[in-house]
Amino acid sequence: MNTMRTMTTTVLAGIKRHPGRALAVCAALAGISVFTGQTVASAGPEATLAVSQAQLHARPAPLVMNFDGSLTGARAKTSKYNRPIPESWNMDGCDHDYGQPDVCVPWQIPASSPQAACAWLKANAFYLPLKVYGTNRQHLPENAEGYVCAGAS
Amino acid sequence: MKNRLSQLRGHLPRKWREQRSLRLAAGAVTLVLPIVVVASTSASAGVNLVVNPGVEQTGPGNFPLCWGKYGYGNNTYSMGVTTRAHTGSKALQVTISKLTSGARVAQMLENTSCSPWVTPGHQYDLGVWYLSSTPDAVISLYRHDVKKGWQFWMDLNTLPVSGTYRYASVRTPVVPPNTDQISWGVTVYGKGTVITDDYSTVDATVKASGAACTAGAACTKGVWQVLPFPSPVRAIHAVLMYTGNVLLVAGSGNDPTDFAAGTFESAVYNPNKGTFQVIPTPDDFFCAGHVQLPDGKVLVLGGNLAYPDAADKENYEGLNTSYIFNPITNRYQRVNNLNGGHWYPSATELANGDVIAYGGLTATGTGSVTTEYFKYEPGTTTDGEWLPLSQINESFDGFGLYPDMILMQNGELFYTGSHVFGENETPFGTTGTKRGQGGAGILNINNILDPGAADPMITVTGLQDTPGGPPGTDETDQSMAILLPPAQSQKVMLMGGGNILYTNHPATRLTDLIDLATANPHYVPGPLIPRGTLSNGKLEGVNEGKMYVSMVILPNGQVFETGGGLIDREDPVYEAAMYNPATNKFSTAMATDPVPRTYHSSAFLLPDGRVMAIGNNPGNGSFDMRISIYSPPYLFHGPRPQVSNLSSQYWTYGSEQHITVNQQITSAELIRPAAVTHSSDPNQRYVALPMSVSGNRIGLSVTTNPDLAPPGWYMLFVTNANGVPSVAKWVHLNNVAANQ
Repeated sequence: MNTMRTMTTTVLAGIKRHPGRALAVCAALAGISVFTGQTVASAGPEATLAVSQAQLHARPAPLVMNFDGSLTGARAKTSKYNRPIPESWNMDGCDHDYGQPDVCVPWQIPASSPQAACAWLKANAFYLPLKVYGTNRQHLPENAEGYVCAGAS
Repeated sequence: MKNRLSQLRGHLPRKWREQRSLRLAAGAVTLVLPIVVVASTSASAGVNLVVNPGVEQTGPGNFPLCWGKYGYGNNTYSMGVTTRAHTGSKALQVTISKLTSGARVAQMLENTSCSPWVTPGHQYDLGVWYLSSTPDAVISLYRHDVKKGWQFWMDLNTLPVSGTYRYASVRTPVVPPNTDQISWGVTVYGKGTVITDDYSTVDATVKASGAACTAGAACTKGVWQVLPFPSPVRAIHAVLMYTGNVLLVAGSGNDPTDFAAGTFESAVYNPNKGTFQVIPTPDDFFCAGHVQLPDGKVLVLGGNLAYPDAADKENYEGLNTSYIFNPITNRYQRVNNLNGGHWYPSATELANGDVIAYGGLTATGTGSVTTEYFKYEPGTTTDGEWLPLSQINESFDGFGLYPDMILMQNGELFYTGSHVFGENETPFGTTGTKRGQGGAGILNINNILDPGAADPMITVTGLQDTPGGPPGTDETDQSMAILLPPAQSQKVMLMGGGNILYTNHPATRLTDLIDLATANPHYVPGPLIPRGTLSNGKLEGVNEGKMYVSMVILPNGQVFETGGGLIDREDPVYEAAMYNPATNKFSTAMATDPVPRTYHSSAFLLPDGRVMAIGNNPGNGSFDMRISIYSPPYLFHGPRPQVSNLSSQYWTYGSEQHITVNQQITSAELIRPAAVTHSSDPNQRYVALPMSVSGNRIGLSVTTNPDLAPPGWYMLFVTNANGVPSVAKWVHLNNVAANQ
């Protein structure tokens, strides 16, 4: 206790003799506290906040971030009428005239002639000849048994 | 995100927005400071980067220097300084007394003097002492991008109510490139008072171990392995279940002979044992939709009623039946029928566990305009039921086939534009609508169960036109789109695609990016898909990309893209790359799957961190039954972290969970297991778990928002500084705690 009193007396005497230096030290300490995160300690009782049991056990509400506010872009026109949309039977890109339904001859075979089309099918590992189940839409060379590209097999 | 920031800034007094010299102000204040004992404000030993952390220094208006008042919405609030300090004589107090909407926060001013300076690649521990009477308080984090300015980064951990001073801490994610400062505060979004004091921000970077990789090319490219056994079924659909097994579904498998014979197939694959169990399959699930329900069962909807009939020019036709697959009994159980047939429907789980489904072909081969809604009712024999049309707010719009509908964090749906087959015919664009003018949109479904009410749909623009492509045609056919990691960022990438109606036109290299957190979201161009090699060994042309591409979210926060073909069902492209959302760049030249993966192929993440790829169904009707497994480079960069203890397997929203790990980690994340087909998995997502770190004991803050992470089973990964992930632990996320 005596030691503490002696230190306090010494500090106060120092401040009295060199008020400018004391102020500088004070400013420096405070500056350190500002920039380093060390803050001043308070005396007195620890601060509290009144909290009810209900609040204590409450679960947080979903936090929805308010990024977009409201939808402000161009409003899409909706149908509102229960009318299914017609779809072409080649919507999967396949010409199902040829082969079983699992075979997908392109709706437009990327070739310049029927012979080249057969060559394309062969190059892409189609199992030739292919039976025509519908109509020979792409005018591929067809034999009497209703198969196309027999010559390319 | 900018919008949110600007809203939060709305109530910031103008004088605080102006740049000022902190040094002068702080110097003036220090003249009147008493000499007192200096106390430590956090448990950290590093330098605290927060300026005026104890809020002791106040300026004009008696508000702390370097702190600003932010907020938005319709609420009554007060914000100021209180004497109820943790240390010193001042603390920040935010009170909301009435709340209709919005939030308030006292936050570090975003300027060069006040916000902490940070280093990309580093992580920081944020700490704050607080008192709170509301559970609705969360640490919100912002970052300053040197190119884009201040951006909302992420909401981190929620603060439990506390009547006595309590310390909260959370570690930031790794600071992304181009970031030089961060700012944060405690956002209050419910009625109550939050008092905060003694903030800290301390560098907590975990250095990479520097473990040498000795695996040769696998160190940078990863490696593929083709399993020595094939799949017993045509795996057109794959669903990873919480048992760790994979449900592979064929139905008739695009084989009309099997269809005619009534032979429908599924198999359960056990990746750990390498075994299959063929499952009795009651209907033709070929081209059905599927999604995991909150309890982990798999809801299967629709499928194939009929193959095309060339003689009568009849289309595929859609089933209207639906089933639940139980991962424990490995059996299907029928539920009530859908309102119409659906061949190629998508299915998206909502925040309440319900499922919404769109698109496909009807039982007559026409395009469905029926939105289907599955009301999830746990505990019932069928887990719920499909609602009748009379209970659904139908718009009767067509959305094409497998329309990719991603759940947004505000409960709306984002139709990405990714779909299957032909033109992208939706309310957001029809034939002739140029790609940049529509093709995607946002669906408000707030009133989906209130027939007759308004549920607006907004068109999203910006999808690019393919250079040299058919003008005005859609090129998103058999593209893939995902919610990029982390889900909190609300960014979506759409990749590749083509248009099968134009056989001669190759698939696109384009990617499109959208930030759904902006005020009026629109797509912007992303990086081009790296060019791949064709079967003839030639490099693709400069505009050539791929359709049927697979995008797989990895635990390290990157996206692995693999597989695909140049044109419809032909010309496989051998190319794979890692996309890093943080840098918006591809890391090219990953190892490529030696098996072609085009039409009816899929790839997905396994719980052990590897990627499994299945399927290929070229135009000749054959089907590749081989299974490939990819080990990413991260599996060759040192020991994997392990989660040695998990406090609970059953998690609730807004809770804090605890794990113990065997080494230092840099992130923890939840990844939803795949339910994928046709490059479509609208539910794929990666949800970051903010961490509080105390040695090897990690606190994980679970999001409060089920729209960010819909209920169900997730894979929990932790990842270390080398980017090496753990093997996943399965955790169940739900609204209520349950011990199942």
